[in-house]
Amino acid sequence: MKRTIGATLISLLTAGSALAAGDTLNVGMGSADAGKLDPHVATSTPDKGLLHWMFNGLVRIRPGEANPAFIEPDIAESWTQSDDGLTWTFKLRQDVDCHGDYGSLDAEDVVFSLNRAANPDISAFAKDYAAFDSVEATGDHEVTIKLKNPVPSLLGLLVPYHGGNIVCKDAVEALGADFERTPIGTGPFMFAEYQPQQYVKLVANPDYFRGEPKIKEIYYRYIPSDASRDLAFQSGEIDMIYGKQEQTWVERISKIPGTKVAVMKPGEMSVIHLNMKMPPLDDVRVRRAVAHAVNRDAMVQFKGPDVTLSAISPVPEGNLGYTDDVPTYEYSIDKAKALLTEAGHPDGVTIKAIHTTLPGMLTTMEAIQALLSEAGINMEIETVEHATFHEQIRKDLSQVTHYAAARFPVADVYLSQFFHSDAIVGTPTAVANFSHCAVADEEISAARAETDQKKQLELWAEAQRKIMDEVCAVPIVQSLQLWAWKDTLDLGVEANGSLNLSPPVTELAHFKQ
Amino acid sequence: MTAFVLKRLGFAVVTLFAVLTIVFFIVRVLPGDPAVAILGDQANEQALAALRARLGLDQPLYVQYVEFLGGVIVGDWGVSMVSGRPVIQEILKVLPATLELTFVSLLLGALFGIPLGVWSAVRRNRLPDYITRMASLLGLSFPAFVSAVLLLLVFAIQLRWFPVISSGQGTTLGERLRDLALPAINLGLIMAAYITRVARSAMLEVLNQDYVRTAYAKGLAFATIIWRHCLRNAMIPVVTVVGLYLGILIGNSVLTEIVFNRPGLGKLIIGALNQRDYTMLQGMMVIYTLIVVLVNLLTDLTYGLIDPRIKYA
Repeated sequence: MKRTIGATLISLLTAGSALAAGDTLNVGMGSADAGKLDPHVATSTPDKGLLHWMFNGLVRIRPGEANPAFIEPDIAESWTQSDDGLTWTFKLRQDVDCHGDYGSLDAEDVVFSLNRAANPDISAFAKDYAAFDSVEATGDHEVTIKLKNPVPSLLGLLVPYHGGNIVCKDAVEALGADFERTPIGTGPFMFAEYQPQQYVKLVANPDYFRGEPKIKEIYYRYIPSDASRDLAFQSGEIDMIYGKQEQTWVERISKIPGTKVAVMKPGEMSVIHLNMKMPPLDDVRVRRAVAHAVNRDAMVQFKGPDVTLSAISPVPEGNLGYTDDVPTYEYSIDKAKALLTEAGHPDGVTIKAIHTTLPGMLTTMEAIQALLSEAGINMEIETVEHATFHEQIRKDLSQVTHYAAARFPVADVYLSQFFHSDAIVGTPTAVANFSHCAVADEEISAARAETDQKKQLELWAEAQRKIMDEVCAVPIVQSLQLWAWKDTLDLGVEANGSLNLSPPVTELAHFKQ
Repeated sequence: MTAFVLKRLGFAVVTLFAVLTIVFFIVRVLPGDPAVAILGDQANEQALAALRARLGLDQPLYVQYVEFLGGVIVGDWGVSMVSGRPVIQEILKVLPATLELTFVSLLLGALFGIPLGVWSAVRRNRLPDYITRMASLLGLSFPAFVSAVLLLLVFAIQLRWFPVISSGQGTTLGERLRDLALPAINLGLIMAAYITRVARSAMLEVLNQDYVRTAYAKGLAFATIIWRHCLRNAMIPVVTVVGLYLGILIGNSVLTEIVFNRPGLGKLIIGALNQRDYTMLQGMMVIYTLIVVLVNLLTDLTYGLIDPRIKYA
């Protein structure tokens, strides 16, 4: 105890001026403060990024990757599934301990945790677990999950992401409402301290089942000003920073000697959704004209070739179920104009878009506006503040909706949230179907329940083809996640991707001497 | 005097009530849904409706309003819609940091602004006056966030005298000063610019008074005339301005806190606005109003200290 106090005092005295102490990692995050630190509630990038280092799932995607193809054991050491895909049995490791004095983790904790994730009164992700029929402890270290109907990727729901994060029952019950301020997990780092608007401090979990982390302390500092965050990194006060999704940021920050810039998946997919209920966009020829008028290569150049990927299908590349075998509309002003004339608009059309003032998104939309104008499509952009934007597009007020989102990388998620008729905005089951697209409902629903993976992939591919054929939306670019850290910091894995959008800081991370 | 203070406090209660009412309705008229901000953009309409019900946002406005006012009177300001922590606790945690920054800046502003203003007035239309006027104009027109970044570039990156990120929790005086230095200089310079201009014009007016000429005529020393006879009479407008500009100072402290990454009301209000955290915004407006009302009261009381002829009734 004395040592902890002493260490805390020393770190307080040197906070700010400490230059990359050997086992302390200072991280600069781009937000003003912590939100809710309960993994079943947290939805914001800064909160998820921090929780990423504290929790485990039954399975995980190999650290440094974001693709479900890399799923490997985490708390569960092995698992089996019934032939119909409805019953799954997981055998748990026996050496997993909860942080602090909350004992070892067993099947009861896992059952409690998954039921909690499925409880709509507590969890923000309950609907992801709607197909769960029961979760039972069938042994001290064995859990059986029964499903009402097959789901596209059960293992995907059990990785430490959103509801898949496993919490400790005793801790949740003992802490009550305080749990969202003092999260208790089983991961390599443990919650230690929260200073409002300043930082959350994590310390190494000495009993971590994969071995004690080499980094002993993490200060996750909240630095909302981009300029200050970059300056703090430049001065050496911060070892790792959250970047701006801009090519110029990459160019500027890589000039600082000893800096490693990481460009990670999943990409945040920028799509313009065309409202198929509002004229003139109710005519597929007009929507195809829009698609022909968007020069996607120019958009990638504009957003920065190092930080963006081109988008072809309405599902991002790298998602389970993605296909590039979809109707594409090559850049052609002539074709766009011909389609408009054919649709009875020889003098062009005017369409309206409500758009956020967030600079990163607005510049993209302005570039699209310029491209469209060459084909005689006059897009009027009405800018509103970001929270207002989210409200108005959900009230079905915008003809063209530019939306940028990163999701769990299984095709079902994008397709269900953006292109299934259940998700049409303005309805009770609304999520984010801004285009009123309903052309692929059958395939999307069938794929969800399909147990034969080959057939499932084919259904998803067919859905993407139909959506692109009808041009419910025009995919623009995928913006990748940007971070930078000192090259003396070795994460021990290659950082190609991260579902939780923060770099994989695990027990392997350490500073090179 | 007591009657005066009581009367003013009575007015303050009325002002506070008016502000609370306006703020309550404005934050609710603002487009933007706190439920979307809290649950994120993947939540479906059912989940959003459930959360709205849990937060009481589905109640008629007048019910919400009565509950809110009742809460404020008994000291229950509710819990933040976003973090779930009590509003008053969140505010009180960071309020000292903002007050510390504001008052140190005010002090710096007065220490530099008053002598410069006096000097400038005495040397009217000569080089020192031109320089001071130009400098104060620059100070007035420079946005606080630009000067803040410039200060960081010079003193934190080039010279490395100060940290980029204020820890905001230094325990010794030395540490606190180190944390405060750049943010306070940044705001202090702006304040100094305001005070210089007011002090100069007030001083010019006093210098033209008959009694000053008389003082010269009877052979009083220059310093005695300026510091004893003129300055005290020129102070009333300066105090008024300091009181008024305290509001501007608190506004600028928002930007300064963000750039220097100091904890404070600034960071709190930005987060609350972005997330449409109604309860937090209301709580912060109560605090801001209280500060402005109290500062005005203090300003009025200070007049009596400066000028014994002023009576409170």
